[in-house]
Amino acid sequence: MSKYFICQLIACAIAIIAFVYSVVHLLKKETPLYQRIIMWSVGSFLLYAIVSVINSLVFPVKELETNVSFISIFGCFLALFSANYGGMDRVVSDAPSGKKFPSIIALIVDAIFISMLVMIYFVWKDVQYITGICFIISYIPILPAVYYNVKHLLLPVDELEILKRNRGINILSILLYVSFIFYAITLVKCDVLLPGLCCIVSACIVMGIVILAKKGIYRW
Amino acid sequence: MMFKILLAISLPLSMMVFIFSGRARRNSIFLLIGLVVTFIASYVNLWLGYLPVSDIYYVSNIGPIVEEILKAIPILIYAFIKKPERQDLLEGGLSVGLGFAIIENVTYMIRFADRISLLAALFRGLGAGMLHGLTTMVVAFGMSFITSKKKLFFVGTLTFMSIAISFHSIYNMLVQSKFQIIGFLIPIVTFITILIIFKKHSFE
Repeated sequence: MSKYFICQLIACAIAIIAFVYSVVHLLKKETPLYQRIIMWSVGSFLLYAIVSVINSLVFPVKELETNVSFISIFGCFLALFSANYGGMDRVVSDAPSGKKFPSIIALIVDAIFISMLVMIYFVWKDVQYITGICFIISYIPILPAVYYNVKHLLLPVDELEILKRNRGINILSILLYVSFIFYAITLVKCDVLLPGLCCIVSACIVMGIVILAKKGIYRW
Repeated sequence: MMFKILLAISLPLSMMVFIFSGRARRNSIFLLIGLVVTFIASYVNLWLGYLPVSDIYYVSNIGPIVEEILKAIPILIYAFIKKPERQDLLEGGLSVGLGFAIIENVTYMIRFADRISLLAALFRGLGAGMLHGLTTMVVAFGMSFITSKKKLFFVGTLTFMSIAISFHSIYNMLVQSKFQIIGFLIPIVTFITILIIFKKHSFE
């Protein structure tokens, strides 16, 4: 068993715990839409973890090969985007003055993430071009997602209590995106232990998001 | 051969369309659409089969994408035109998926009938049937926001489509490996679990 496969197994185990936790605590009739969408994203992440493990188990381990796990992670980021856009932004949109400044900063952060995606392209283009393109396509939902995460972090919280409740989720979501980008870059450049650790860190961040989402319900 | 199988199965089933009414008619139409979608999928897979990848890689990674997208198209058209209730979309999705599974299983059995045991046929029937029904139902759930929360329609559809494709890929990978039994059991267990959850909770 390679170190990378062991890391994938640990990440998968954490993802299973996170998903079961989210189903037990978030799958209720009275759960707000925001938390339910978080649950979908955790489900997508779990499928990503399972596909990665089974792919390594069933086929000869090829860490650099494209597989359907890219689609799962695309779904996870899309769900995180829709939680803020569809679930939260309509609540926030009644809002406070000073909305321009958070939007501008959010756009700047978006530009930073775009440059990270470009970096992924340059890292992969001489190794396995197709896999690099798949990484970039699957990470595209990060761009609108991080825009809303940053915007909701920067909006004045004293006018909208709900923004304060979701601060932790927004911060952890941004960390999740960074960990995945770091994973894509280290997979080529480093020993497999580092991307393996990125998988475990991502799973722990998802667990943190679920716990904060549950806490957020009781304060909604 | 596929076309002959399609005719032989769809023509008797099409009598339901003339006899049934209301919801039963609608679901039988979706079942027939599912049969036709398999036929189309077989040609798309044949055409894409010329890609320079191994058969196992194709079945595990590309096949699920092709099949889930093709199965979702009739439900998407129905969602846009009729803007139905969630229950109607889920039933339509399930019917398309089951129709797909019928032709797929029949074709598989014709090809490998002499090599398959009764138990294997049972697992194949239940496993593939529940897989296709479940995955199309999942995509239909994502589309159900077209009436209630329009902002979530597009992202909901794509998110659940990615979930369906991943689930289908997991099944295909496992049934080609030495973990075949686990592969067949996963959709059965998942289907029963979701059924229990749906009966316990009603979703808005």
